Amino acid sequence: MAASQRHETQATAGILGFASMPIVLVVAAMIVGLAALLPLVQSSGATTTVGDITTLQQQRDDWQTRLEEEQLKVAQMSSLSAIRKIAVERLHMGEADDIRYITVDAPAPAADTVPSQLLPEEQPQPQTGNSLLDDIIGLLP
Amino acid sequence: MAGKRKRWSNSTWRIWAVIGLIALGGFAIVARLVQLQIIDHPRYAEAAREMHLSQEIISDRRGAILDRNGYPLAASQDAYNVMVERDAWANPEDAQYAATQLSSATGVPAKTMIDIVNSVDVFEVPVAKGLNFTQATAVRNLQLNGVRLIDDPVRVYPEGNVGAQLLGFIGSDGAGLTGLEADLNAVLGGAAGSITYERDAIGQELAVGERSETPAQPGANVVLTIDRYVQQIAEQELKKAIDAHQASGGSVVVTQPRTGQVLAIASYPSFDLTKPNLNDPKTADGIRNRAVTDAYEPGSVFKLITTATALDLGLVTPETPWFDSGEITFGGWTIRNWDLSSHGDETVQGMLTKSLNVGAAWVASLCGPDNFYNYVQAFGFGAPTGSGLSGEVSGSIRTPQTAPDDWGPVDLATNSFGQGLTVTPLQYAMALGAIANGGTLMKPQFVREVDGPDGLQAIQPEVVRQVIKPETSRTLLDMMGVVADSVSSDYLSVPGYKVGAKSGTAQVADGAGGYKATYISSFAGVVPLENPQLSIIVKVDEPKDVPWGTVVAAPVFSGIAQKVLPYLNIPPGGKAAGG
Repeated sequence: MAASQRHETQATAGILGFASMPIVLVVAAMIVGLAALLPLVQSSGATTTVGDITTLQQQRDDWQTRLEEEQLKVAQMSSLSAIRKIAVERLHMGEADDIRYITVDAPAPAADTVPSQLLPEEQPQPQTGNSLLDDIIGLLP
Repeated sequence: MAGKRKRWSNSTWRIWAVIGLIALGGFAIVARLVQLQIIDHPRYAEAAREMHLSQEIISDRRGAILDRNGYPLAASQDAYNVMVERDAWANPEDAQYAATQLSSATGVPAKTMIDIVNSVDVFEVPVAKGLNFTQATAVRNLQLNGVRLIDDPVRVYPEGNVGAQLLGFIGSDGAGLTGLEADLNAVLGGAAGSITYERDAIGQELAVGERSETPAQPGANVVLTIDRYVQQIAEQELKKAIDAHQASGGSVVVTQPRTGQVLAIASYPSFDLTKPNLNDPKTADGIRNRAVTDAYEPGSVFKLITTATALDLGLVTPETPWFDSGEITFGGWTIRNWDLSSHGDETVQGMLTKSLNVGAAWVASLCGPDNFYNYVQAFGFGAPTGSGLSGEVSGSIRTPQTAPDDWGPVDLATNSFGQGLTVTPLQYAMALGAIANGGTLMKPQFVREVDGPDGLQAIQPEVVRQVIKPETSRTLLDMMGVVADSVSSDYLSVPGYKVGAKSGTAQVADGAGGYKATYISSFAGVVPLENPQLSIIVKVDEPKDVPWGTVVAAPVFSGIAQKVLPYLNIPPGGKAAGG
């Protein structure tokens, strides 16, 4: 009986002390190593994300700048001097030397319109209808 | 025993001395640590924070200045400067390589950039300025060590120098220096923001460091009442007259009488808005917006004010007769007509049509000084118009109340035909607008809308006061029509439209109570007479050949009206004025 118990104890000790201890140590070392790498992984991920954000922000700013440059080109092409140049050089127009006015019985033409992108944005008109509270009060006898 | 005690005592003393010294040193170290880490902790923590934190002031785009139809007159365009750290170019080979690379992107010679870096003893120096977006992208893609780009936006003027004095320009710091750029700087400039970030040893932002940002507020776009075409025409016609008569300068103001909105305000000489050279005295002279900064004696155009006063008081009608003896005496001073002749039996209409000084003085004497000056001030003379433009002057009106020791009866007479008092072209334009607007004086309006982060804000026209009765206004307009009809079509011709007008020719005051041998020619007109949509005041300074307002200034009015009326789709009414 006693011999049997001693044999089991030795076997258990063999498993834990001889065969498993190095594995436990290796596993523990790997866990510790991996745990140590976690901040690095997190930092790397964050760095990559920040880098992506910065790149996207740069792209957004670049497109915004390109858009504004194009708007300015439109403004310069719509300038009076540019219009005059096109009229004279491309369309071969010139100043009228004999202006004759005729009077017609008709309303004056509408004012010239300008490209909508050059006009200030229109603001949405505030709602002027009854509010929900007004509707509820209106239902009261 | 005693010897042992002595030796023991000596060694004990030494041990305690050493222990004491060590304890003292330890205490000093602890005290110092307490001072550094507890007492002075905030200060050192802040210093440490500052050492690895960088802050950049950021500003958003400056708002644009647009004409009444939304066409930009001044706008900001992104531009970039290339900054180089001196230390990064300390090695000549590295510098040569980087400069060669930069040169291909910027167009600036490599040697020039290296010389710039070596010529100064600062941390960082700009080696190329004003790069456009394409060039800046090329520089950025080079990814050179110690080289970075900074924003340095430039102001561009799609319409060139149109409205130069009104618009003004900005300084190198982006703030407005003159004109509307200065007057509306708070609106156009927005608010600066900042970025604070943690940096590494070479100044680069840490990807996962501390970062905070206060965003900049963009400037608002300002929509003016100015019409770019009307402004350009006004400037061209004014310059044409100045060149033709070798005049020293001039001003034109074009307004809408009903709203007080200014469609054009031109002054000459002008300056190059795109490249203002402040070292050039001519530039300083050209920057002045003479229509608001220069007061002058208006001369005979002021007879309209005198006539309006008498008509409104019911003292005269256009047909009221009077006798022109060619001279009239006030306080011992004799007033004569401009042609030094008498015209016999005349009417008030004749006084205005022939521009008779004697008649104007007689009409003013009927009104009396109190009434006369009350109306003069009610028309807005002697006080700023409230335009909001910097540098605006009030002009000078002396009355028995304001200058009891410096005013005499003769001043009433001379004032009646626009001598002895000073006004600005803008003041007169608004008074003329009141005559054309049923007697209602409007505040001059230059800004129509402000389109900013808080939304679109529309500026409404503002009534100052009712100066004369609507009936008086109509009567005076008809009288101005008669005056305009009497002007030769060689000088005043607006086919299809009937015009109301009055010319003026005034000697230039010498500042010492006398007059120089030079003149200011002016012309004030409204069109169409039946329902005035435009009022135009033209002033030409010191023409060399002829002084007459009809000859010098009326053609400017004609040139503007001929082109602007069809452009604004203002239908003609009544018979043509002049030819």
